[in-house]
Amino acid sequence: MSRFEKFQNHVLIIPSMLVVAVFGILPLAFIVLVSFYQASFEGFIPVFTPSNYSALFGSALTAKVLYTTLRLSAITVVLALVLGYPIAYTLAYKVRSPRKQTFVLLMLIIPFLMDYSIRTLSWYPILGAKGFVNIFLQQAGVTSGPLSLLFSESSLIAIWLQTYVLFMITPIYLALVKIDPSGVDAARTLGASSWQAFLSVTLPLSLPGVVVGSIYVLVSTISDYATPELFGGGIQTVGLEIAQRASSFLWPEAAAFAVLLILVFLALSYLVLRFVDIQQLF
Amino acid sequence: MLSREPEDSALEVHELSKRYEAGQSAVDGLSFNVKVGEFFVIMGPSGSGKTTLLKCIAGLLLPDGGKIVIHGGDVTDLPPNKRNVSLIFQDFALFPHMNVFENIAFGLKLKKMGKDEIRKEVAEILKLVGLSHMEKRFPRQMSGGEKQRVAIARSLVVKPKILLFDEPLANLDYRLQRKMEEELKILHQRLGLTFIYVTHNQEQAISLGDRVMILNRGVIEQIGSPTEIYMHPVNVFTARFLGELNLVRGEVTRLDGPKVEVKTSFASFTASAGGERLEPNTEVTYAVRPEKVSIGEGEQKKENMAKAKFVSAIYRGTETECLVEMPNGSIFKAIVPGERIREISWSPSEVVTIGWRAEDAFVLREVSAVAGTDVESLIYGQGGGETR
Repeated sequence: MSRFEKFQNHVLIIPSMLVVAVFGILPLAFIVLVSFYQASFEGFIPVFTPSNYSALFGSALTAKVLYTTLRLSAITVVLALVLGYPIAYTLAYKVRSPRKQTFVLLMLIIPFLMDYSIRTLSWYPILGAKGFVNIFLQQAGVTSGPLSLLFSESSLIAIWLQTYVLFMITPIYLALVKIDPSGVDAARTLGASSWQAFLSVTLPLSLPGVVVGSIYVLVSTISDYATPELFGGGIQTVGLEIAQRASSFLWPEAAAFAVLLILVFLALSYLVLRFVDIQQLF
Repeated sequence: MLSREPEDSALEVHELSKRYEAGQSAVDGLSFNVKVGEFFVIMGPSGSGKTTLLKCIAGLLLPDGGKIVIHGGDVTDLPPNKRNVSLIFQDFALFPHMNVFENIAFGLKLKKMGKDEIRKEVAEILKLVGLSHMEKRFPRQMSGGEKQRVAIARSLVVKPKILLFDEPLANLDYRLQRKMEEELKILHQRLGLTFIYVTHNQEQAISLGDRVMILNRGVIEQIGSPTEIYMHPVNVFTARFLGELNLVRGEVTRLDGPKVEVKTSFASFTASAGGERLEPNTEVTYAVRPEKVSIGEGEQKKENMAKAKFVSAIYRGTETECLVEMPNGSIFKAIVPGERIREISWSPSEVVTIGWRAEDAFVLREVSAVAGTDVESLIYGQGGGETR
């Protein structure tokens, strides 16, 4: 590469760097800054104080909320993986014709073309007191009265799953189609059963997709506040805590909580990426 | 079938059929035997079903009909891991997330072998393929030849009854191919293992195989030793595919003891009748090997002489190939000693005389085992062989 070409490449990435800087790094830096400011009725006073963090760490609620959020997110990630991996696998290996593959992918994407609120509210006629599931259960004589299926941890997880399972399926699918199928064939002729071949060849090679998918689902659920607010049945999550503080003009505290969440998330990602090389995906 | 000693056959294939599916060619009623310790080459153009056949033997594809017997045991319905055959792939198919040691130890771990024993076995096999110092390397850090050796070691270490190769050298450069051919031949002799080797490369088929099977569109054209097939092809397809023959269509006009006269569109030639049962007016293909054709030696009288237009001469070191155009437009090749390139001074389109003896030519009556094969396009069409 000549000097000029190098220079050219640097020039070419300037616009995107600017976008990232202005819309990504600057606001983030601002949040970090505000998290050290003093709270006031106008939002904040630019006076440095560690009190937002000491309040956060001093409260027993913080750890509890963080734990609840991480627990619910983790359950969602695991369920999305359990549900999404077989779908991605089937799509990658069992659906032979490209037309059918496109069709299945399209069916998975269509829910995303719907508005968030409509997609979420459509759970009412399904899981609500007079919803499809409850009526069916009563008609079948399984239950005598309506079960409260909505407004609980499980309904929250179910809705998260429905919303984000595609974020798990897609990277796993991409990782699977990149695997050379003769590797599995080789394992088979070397004495591996189809299950052993899957465990020793396909699964490890698809791990980068699993990691990327898990991070997607984790990020999406951990910071969500609308779904827990609508369907959580009073659960406190980090997203809700931040939103509540922000709406009561406790901006510095909200910012401090947000910074804490980012740090927790970065630590988690770092741990995972130390063990799996996602470069293999590209 | 009962009279045969089962110990003699490493592999028996009976009436094996696999219908066409997306991405894989069909095979249709194949029957053949491979002897224990044999180097058996399956050769055919793309789409002939060689890989399909190999995958059926390995158990990676289930046939629609027929039977596969390995060392006397029917394995038709057994999964690949219960067949005791190992397949070596064109793209090596090493496990990219494992290093050389782990790749080779893979099959041994599945056999629940002890750690020390695995270590010993892997070291031994690495020594055999000459990669002792590379245990810790990952496939992406290795050259194509090294990867192929690892693949071979990985398959050998599980001690299969039959080792299958699916165009294992196709992804290597020419020099490395020749070197690996030698190594494979030595390995085969040293181990006394049955090798079944798929290729579309005629040089490899001739130099490696104890016997060669020519496959075309899912059916067997001919099975025999390389020299047998090279010297006595049973039909035009085999002749075109394995050898470098000068071919021309014609009709038998006269039978004269061991000799037969064939009238082509531009001249009459004589050939030895060989084993073919011929009658006058039989449509045949007249064939003569390029190394038996002399060029520009008009004074030496040969039974068969023809005037042809000189096209070009290709110097190949020990030999020189002269291409000439016959009156019907087809290209004939004459192979002469390499040093004669200095005497060759014809200019393109200059008329030269070529000649050959009757006993060096033969006629083929059969066209192909595939019914309805168009002989004209087989002889004069592009692809497959050298003549046009």
